[in-house]
Amino acid sequence: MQKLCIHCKKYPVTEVNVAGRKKYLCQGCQYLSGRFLVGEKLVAESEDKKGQKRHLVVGALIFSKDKKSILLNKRRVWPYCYDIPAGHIKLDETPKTAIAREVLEETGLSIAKSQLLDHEIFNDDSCRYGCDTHEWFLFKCSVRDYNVLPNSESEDVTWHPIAQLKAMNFLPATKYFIKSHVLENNHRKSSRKNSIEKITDAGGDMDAVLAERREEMLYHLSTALFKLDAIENILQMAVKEITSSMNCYSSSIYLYNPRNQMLEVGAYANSEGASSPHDLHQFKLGAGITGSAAFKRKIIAISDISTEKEYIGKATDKGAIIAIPILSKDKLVGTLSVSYNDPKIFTEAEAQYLSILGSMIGLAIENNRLYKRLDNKVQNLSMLFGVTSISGRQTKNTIQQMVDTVPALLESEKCHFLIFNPLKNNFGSFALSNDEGSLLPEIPLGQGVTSKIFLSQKPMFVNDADANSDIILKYRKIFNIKSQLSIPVQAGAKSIGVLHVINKVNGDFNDEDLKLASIVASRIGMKIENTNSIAEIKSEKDFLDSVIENSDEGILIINSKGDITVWNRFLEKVFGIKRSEVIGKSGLNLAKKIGAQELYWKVVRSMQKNHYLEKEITAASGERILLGINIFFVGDEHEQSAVVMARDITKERNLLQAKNDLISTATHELRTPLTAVKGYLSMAQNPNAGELSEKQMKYLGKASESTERLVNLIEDLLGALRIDENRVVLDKQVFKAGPMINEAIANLQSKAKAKDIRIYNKSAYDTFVFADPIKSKQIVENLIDNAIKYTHDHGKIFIATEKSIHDIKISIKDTGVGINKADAEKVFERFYRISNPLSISAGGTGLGLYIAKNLVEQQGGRIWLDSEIGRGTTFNFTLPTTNIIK
Amino acid sequence: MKPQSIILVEDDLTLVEMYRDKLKEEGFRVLTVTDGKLAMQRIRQGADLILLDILMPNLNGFEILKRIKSDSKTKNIPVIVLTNIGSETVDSDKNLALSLGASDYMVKSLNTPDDVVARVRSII
Repeated sequence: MQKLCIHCKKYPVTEVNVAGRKKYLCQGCQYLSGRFLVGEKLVAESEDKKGQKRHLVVGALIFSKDKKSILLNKRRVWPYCYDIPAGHIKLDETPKTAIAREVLEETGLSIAKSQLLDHEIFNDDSCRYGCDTHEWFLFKCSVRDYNVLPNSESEDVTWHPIAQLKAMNFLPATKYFIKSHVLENNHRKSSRKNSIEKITDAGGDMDAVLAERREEMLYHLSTALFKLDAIENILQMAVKEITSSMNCYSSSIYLYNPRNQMLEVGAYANSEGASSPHDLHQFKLGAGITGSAAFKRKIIAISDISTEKEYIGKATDKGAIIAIPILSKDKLVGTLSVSYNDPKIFTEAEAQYLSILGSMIGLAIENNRLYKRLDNKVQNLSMLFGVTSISGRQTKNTIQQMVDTVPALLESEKCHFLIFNPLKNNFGSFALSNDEGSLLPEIPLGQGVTSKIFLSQKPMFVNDADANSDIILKYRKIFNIKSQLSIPVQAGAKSIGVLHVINKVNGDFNDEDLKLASIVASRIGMKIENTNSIAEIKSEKDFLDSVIENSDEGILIINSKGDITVWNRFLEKVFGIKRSEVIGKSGLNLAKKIGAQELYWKVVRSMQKNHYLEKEITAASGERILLGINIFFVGDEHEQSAVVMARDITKERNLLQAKNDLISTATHELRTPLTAVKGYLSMAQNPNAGELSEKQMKYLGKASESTERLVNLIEDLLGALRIDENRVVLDKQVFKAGPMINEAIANLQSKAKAKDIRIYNKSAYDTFVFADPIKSKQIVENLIDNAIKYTHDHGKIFIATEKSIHDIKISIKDTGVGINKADAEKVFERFYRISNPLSISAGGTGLGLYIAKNLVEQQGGRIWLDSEIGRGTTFNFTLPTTNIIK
Repeated sequence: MKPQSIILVEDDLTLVEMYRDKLKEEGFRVLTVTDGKLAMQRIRQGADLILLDILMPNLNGFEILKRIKSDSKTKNIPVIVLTNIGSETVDSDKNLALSLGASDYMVKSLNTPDDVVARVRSII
């Protein structure tokens, strides 16, 4: 037993294979049933009644998981259609016929199949069927809107039939639908006839019908006026409507051409459906009825043309004609002619109606023309602006292009651009519109409108060239100048030339033209300015590029995105990596490649703006070199680039190394024999070695003293040389000042005792200092040593400290000889020794204070002295203190 | 009491004589080594203290110091670096010596032989 369709329950189903799945197709109602998957698309093959194989695209159906179908969705299998419109559609129906039938059912109107337009797919979600009278939109929408499956949880979708569309108040379709209802009545001849007959039968007013028609037409035309369609289409539509609404034989619109004073047919329609007349294509202004109406600017209505002399046409022509002039802003645009095959009496109402039509058509034509002009201008302007985006190389071409656009833009014949040549003091022709190479005469400065404009920098226009004596005769002849508009052209602040626009077509130059021309002039000026700037910038850039490339330091620049923008020759050589391999590529990758990854991250993460480091690397050549690397950032907070500069300091380092080695060797060599001298002298003075006379002891003592001086000299020299190295490493720590000072004092205690000088330590014990403790001790030692030297026996030395916010001041005061003002500044210089008896006997190298000053300043402190001759000296120095005490 | 033995590693003969005389005078037994290569041999034979010069032909004093301090036999022998390079105050050589395990660092020209003896006595 055959299965019955679950939908209609009348007809049997046949099994069909749809995309590999079994489905059942009802032979009667075309219902497709079976098990469907959510989102399943159905394409199937089938045979129609004639046995022809067809592809059936059923469309996308989405069903709920628990239901096989949705009741509202009437699925039909269509040949060649992409969707499933709802409705009762027969097997051999096409979408078009289905719609025709739908319309009939819905509205009671019957429409011929031929009036249906093809359907259009908008997107997957909707589909439009159109015809002259209706627009049918089929949309996907949620079933939930229709409460079909109140318990359904899934998103089921169905195609939306028109009925629901109306329920949703889809306004445009509705509106159109309503309007088209009426239109449909007028559209078809037969039905129109019927309707009119109906009305007249009913004894209705012809005028009323006309009035209704008029309203209709006006509405239609007004919407047509907003259409920026080709004017020909608008006019054609207009005449078509007029022909049918006036029930005439033909109507035509003639357009006036002022150049030859002819009225040429622009649109034509007759009741037989022809859209172009077989004769009477044009009329001279004033000729014929059409021409007369235009000439006289009055409506001419001829009830019987056979009686009319002025009528142009075949002698056998009979009938009636009415011609209406079409005007716009008092300008003649053309004529509307309506002709009848039979004589006819024209009513006032008809004339009025046609008159209104005429003015509306005139408006439409004018609008259209204005729009065209505007469009043209816009296009020209955009071309003008578009053209200026071309790069600076083809300046001459670009300017030529700009000059070429001017005639069209300003509706004139020519455009001529002259540039001022300061060397020759004249103007030379730079570009002439649509002209490749005419040789035009130069204009000396002082002659012509050109000079006038250039010197006054004021634009102007002249509409009667003959009356203007400024225009150079040569040019007047060459260009046949009747009118001219002239604008000065500036590049930046500099005047460079003059732009002339010659011979305005259709009238005179006006202020609007001046504005437009000014725009062109400024664009030309900008273009020239740009070119100059570009050239300048380029040469600047080339120079800088050359500096970077030829630098004997390596320069690497990484931009804010982390990409390498500069990699110069030095680096190419050192690392053996070519520019092309790294430019534009990631800096991090390069860092990884050369083993500098850690450094990369350190720099990126650090808050410091500057980094310096020295790194020994193996160059591409194989040699080991030492690079001194400086890294700093340039740019603003948004865009920062890292600049890495690498200098080969191998030689310098080697030199330094050699120097250090020399120092070491020299000191060693000097010290060694000294050790022996000092040692043996000491041993000789020892009683163990034997008895010595007083004289001998004295002599040995002197020798020892001198030896000691030698020893100290060498120590000081060594110290001073080390200072000069300026890479002395500061081992900054936080330490207490007290113990440091105590140690220093202890070291010099024996010296002080030798002169019976007492050292009084009044320094604060617990003050914390942030400096190098050993160096600081050295400073103190040096100063105490100095104090001892320059103080008489039995003198006193006072050491004190004073704390302030940022630092601690240590003072070493002695009761010594004092230092006078002249010497006061110089004491800190190398080898400076005050000429003073005491200082001579005091010995010393003159280096102690020099060293002390260096050490103080290296740690960020200051050193100075206060002194009074005969009273004593106080040496003061500061060391940074910390705020983190306690 | 057995006299304490001191190994003096020094290449300058004048100074060798000077220190040896002095130390002997003070009652120490002194063994001298003038060639760095032979130093370790001598040192392994044991001593109570080593006076070590740095700048010597054939073998750097620091090298010897390293070896002394790494050899289990010798690492407990106190070493005073007695040299004419570097400085007694702030110096990389001094730091290096001390970090390598030297007990003290003395610059010869800054110290009389008496000073040296005093320092030796303070250590052993």
